[in-house]
Amino acid sequence: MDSFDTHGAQYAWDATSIKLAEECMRKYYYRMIEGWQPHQKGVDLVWGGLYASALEHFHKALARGIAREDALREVVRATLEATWQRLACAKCQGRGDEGCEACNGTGTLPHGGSPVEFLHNAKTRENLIRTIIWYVDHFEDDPLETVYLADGKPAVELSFSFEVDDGIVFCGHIDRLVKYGDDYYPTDQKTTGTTISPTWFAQFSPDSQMSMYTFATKIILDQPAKGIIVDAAQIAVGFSKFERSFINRTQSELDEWYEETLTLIARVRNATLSLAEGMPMEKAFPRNPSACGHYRGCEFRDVCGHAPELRDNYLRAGFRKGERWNPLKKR
Amino acid sequence: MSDLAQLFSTDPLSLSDQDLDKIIEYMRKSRHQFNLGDRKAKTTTKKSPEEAKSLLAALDVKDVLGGL
Repeated sequence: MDSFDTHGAQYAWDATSIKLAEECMRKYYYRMIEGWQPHQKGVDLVWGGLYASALEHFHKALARGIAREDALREVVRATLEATWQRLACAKCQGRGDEGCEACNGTGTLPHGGSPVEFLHNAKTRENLIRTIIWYVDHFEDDPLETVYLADGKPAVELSFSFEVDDGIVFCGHIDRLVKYGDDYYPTDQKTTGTTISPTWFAQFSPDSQMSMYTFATKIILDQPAKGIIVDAAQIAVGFSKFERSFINRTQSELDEWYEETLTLIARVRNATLSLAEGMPMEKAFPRNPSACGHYRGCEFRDVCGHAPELRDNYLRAGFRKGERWNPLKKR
Repeated sequence: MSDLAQLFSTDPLSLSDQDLDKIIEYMRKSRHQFNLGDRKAKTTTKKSPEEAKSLLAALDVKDVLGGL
């Protein structure tokens, strides 16, 4: 299912696309409208995704009644496999042809291969396994209880989508919904290379992902949610350290975020429609130069940093046009 | 090559439950070692208020400030 309507304007919005539009209209245009992607995904994104996925599977296994040690062993096994690069099948040239005897239709050979190299001093394969094991032991006596949905399934790896005003759909993917005392919270895993302190957690207030997940939890459970719980892991060469923080949101804060977000979405949809009616892209989706240096610098900085007539060349050299980000795609 | 390095360079589909338990045990030992060191570091760097006061008293604060 596509997240764009027949006019080419996005109607299904997740936190990723909201944050892109908040940050810079041009960045939103390159990523969401045109579908430009870097040739290689960043190590932080891949490594963090593997880590969050491993913990989701761990919590899901626990919720299914699997013993803690067995669940950990299986998650370690799955993560080792997910970070093992298998050789492409020579017989079907990696296509995974049905009935291929050499690869059994998978496209890769069942034996051989090598570990994935992350090309990072701390975010290595070994340290990924270490961080998963240390997390499980650090939170051994975790007071957070996984919530079970009305259909009896544990609320882990939870994809949501629901309509709000003006035909807009909010969607996303929550790691886990938990109960702490009498209160309900979504949880999210974050990794960082820096020391985790109250100042580090301050980056999440305000933050659209945290507000959206709190907002969504209220809709999913039809229960009040006070905010979101962030479990942060500091990944260093010789250790992994964990901190947990409750990122609170009052109802008035959520109301404010909701109004601001619908205004932002309306602005982006108007820009997309104006573009379709002939407005120059540069006018419809202007750059936001003050955001170019955020985090480690915007991936499109080298494109936007050159003269307009050269930008296409820089886009084609540094990026590829792939399937654009689809917030409605189930994980 | 160490036992752990050997396990990490083995095809995961060939690893037995015992191999995985060895990896988990190794990582648990390293966590234990880290926690011991971390606690030691915390206890040796943090000073009690009394210790801090006596250290400040030992410094010639006026001289230091006067040099600014």
